[in-house]
Amino acid sequence: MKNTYIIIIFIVLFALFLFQALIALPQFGFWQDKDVAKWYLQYGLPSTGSANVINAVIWDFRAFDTLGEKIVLIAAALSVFLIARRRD
Amino acid sequence: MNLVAKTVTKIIFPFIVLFGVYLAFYGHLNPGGAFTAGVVVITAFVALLITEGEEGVRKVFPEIKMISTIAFSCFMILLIIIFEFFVFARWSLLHIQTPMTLWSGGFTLFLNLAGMLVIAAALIMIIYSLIEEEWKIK
Repeated sequence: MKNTYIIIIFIVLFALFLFQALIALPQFGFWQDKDVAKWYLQYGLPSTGSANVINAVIWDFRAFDTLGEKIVLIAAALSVFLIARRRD
Repeated sequence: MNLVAKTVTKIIFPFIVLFGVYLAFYGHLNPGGAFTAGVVVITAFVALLITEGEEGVRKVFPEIKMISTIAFSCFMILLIIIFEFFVFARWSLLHIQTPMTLWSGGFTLFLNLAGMLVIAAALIMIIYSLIEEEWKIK
């Protein structure tokens, strides 16, 4: 029973945060209201100081996404290493 | 393998690693960054793996070093990102205002280096696990 309560609480919290994130998106068909790419190009160099905008987006504006990517890569490498070993 | 191939690979190996480290150091100025630098570094190790066999490479880069490299680099990336975000609440600490120099990007320099280590070590671990011995040409 305790597991069910925890799951229900988790679902409610997740739905709340997801609702707040989806409300902030622009209307379907009017993407010019929130042009994030233009903002990145305009304020990439003055904010971060790196001339490579891709580098600024990966490691500065969206650093946590890159951290998640690295974690996925390491999980894949570790699982291949554990399964396909050659020592008998 | 041929003696010429072995000797040339041993001579060229540090230059390929140097090129990868160059790509990682200038990640915030030129196209490159951590991911391409990691791939270039493991190209050097794969060349060594093909010509020398596994024992020759395992003397240079044993398995325990791979795991410790991955762990250390991940820890460093995590520390830098958390430090940057929550302590100072500003992007790219430790940067100077002139563009196109080494310290323009600030902490992105260390993040690129650590990312290169993570990618190189993880991909070499995968290659070690999947390689077979029977195809080695005597």
